[in-house]
Amino acid sequence: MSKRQLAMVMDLNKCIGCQTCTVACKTQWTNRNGRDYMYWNNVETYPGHGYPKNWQESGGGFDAAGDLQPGKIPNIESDYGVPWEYNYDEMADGKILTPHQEPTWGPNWDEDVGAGNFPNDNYFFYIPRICNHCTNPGCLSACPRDAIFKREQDGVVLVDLDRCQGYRYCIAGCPYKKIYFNPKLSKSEKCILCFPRVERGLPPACSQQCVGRIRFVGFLDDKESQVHKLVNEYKVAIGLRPDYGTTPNIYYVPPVFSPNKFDENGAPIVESSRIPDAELEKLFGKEAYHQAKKTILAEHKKRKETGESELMDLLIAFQHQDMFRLDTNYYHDVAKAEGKKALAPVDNRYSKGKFTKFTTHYKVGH
Amino acid sequence: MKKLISNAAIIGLPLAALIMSGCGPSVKTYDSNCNDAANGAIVATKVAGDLSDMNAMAAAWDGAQCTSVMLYPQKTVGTNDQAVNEMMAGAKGVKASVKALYNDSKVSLMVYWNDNDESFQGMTSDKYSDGFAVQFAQNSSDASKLPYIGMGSDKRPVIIYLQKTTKATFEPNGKGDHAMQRADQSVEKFNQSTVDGVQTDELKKFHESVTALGDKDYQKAFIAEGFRSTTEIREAKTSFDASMTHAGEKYMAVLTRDIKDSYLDLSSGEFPVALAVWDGKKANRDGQKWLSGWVAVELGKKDGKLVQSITEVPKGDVVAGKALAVENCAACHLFDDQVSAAPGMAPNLSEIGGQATSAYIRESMVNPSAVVVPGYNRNAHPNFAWYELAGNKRVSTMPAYDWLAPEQQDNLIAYFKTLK
Repeated sequence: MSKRQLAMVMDLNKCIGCQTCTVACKTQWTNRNGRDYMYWNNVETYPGHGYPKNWQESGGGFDAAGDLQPGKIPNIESDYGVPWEYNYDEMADGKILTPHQEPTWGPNWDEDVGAGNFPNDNYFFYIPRICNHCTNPGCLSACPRDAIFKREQDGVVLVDLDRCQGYRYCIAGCPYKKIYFNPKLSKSEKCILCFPRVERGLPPACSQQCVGRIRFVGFLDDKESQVHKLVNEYKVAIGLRPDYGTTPNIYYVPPVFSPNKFDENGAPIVESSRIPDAELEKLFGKEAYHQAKKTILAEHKKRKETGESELMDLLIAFQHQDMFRLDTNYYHDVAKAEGKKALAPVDNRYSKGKFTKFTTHYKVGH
Repeated sequence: MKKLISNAAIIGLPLAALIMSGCGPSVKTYDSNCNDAANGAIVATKVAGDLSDMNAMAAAWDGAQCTSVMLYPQKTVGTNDQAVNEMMAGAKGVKASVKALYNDSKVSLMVYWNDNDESFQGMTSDKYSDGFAVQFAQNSSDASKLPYIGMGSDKRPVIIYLQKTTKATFEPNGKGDHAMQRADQSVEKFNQSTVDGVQTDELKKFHESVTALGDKDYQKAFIAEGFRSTTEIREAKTSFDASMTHAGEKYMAVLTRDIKDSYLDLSSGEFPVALAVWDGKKANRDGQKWLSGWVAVELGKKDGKLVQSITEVPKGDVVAGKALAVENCAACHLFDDQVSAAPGMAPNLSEIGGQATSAYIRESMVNPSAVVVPGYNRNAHPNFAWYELAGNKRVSTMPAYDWLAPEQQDNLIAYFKTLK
């Protein structure tokens, strides 16, 4: 366990599935150099196959005894999906628009499909997913080369690209399938929680750009932070699939405000909820989910009746800046204590191997 | 060889096809009826000529004697990848043949083995390359304390040369020069741009220069004290060249290195090597491979001391040895027909006879902390700690069996040496 833990809370009641976070991440980190197919941040429709396809059935994580479970390594074409392109240029010659290859799968293939029968009880919701920066990461446990590490300063899980040899056991070991193989570099890469931004006091790109204002970022041990209040005080934010045993540090406020179902005459069934509890129990754990639901509904009611509720104010997030409590001074102090220049990355193992003798800004030398 | 691989990569041809079409009139194959390394050494033949540009087709190989070496699947440490577990289940040993040549400054080893088809990692997430590696012990003066076969052990470093079949799909120049990386699609767009109405090909040139940098053979040298600690040697101080040629359902792989450099001094003329081959089609990579035990190489005919020490098996009673093993070892280790231990609880001993020397087995029984199997990740099995950490030192959780009488130890070793 790291000294401190940076965490994110996503309020699923507010996510509109606009993929702005996905694009923010892609343009910042994954539009080049073999990362082109990766989505470190994706937004998937639940229920659905997810991204990569059927990640929840792909193994990894730990069993109740704490043993790492075997897992699968998804295929780029059939499980992640590769982008296809159209013949725009030929359209001037009167050709019809056709993709350059038959699309068979993509990262958001089953968007808005959901489950249930329209219009009576169909339902779906969006769930944005990034690396969970777990306290007990499956990827780290699977690596035979100590190439994955959890930063002492803030618990961000990173791949030491100098040590990584591209064996890909980490992909099998991560139950969320949020670590990817870069075939061009022959190394594994993953969400870095935008640590170069965070160290400078900026929220991760996905959070900064979030249109629905669903993402809170801060340190879990910071009593003033929004994430601390949501996760530790109100306990309305829960890690995804806690049964995987990795103790994720990206938390979700479960979608408890879903519309009423309709009866056979098309009239709303009062107090009914379209999203079945069973689905959310599976995602967040039975007890934790019901506890969170109870608290949110109670605070919602309180706010309606009295006009006051700290929790509701928090979740509304009147000012976007109120969703983040980052700590540039903290990183400066860590850098200072280690004799490094402030604003240089606090942990340079990401660009510098354990046995590397010297490093410059871009280049690693030996 | 670097040049060959680059060319193959650019035009997307398999290496063997290129060699067959462009670089030689015919592809030779070599005899597989060789002396067995279990009884002797790989004896290198001295040549007068230059060894700095060796490949499998060189005429010099015809005069070298061949030795067969058995390689067994590595089962000591398990993996969490379902695919490779399924494909390697029930894998049997592979016979490789080895020839060796040397001159005053260089030694060259050729390893050839059967593999029906070439595999390449390519631009996808779940394909793997074929490969081969030769491992040298940095210090082999005490043959009873050779490094652990699985890429060395604490204070007993090994030097490893690795060659993988690959197309040049890796980072631009293999030097971590991220400033030279760029997105293909944006270069395409820039390429069409004009400056002051004049078409500029500046970015096209940049594109070409980066592509040229990317033509890198997957050929690496490592120093390791156990496969957890493997670290690439990048400085030019260690000079080596490796190649793999596929023809006639066989791989012929060649490694050539200096007899002496700052990492390794083989000038005593007698040194141990271990061989490994990977089959990409079976999702082999890392420890998922076929691995030999230590085999002695002699530059010319030597006194045979190293061979004797490596190949020695004590004259013990195998049946009594098994009884002892079942009684003392089977609670934690899996081996032979013993299945009572939980998988992952301790190193799997199923192939130990093919990979470990008698001296190593004895040392591990008497002093388990002398070598703690290094690649084991404690986080993966928190209930089965193979070792405790005393500072940086790994202390094995296995109790020492130093109380066994010498003849009991011999019986056990004689039994373990049959496991392969």
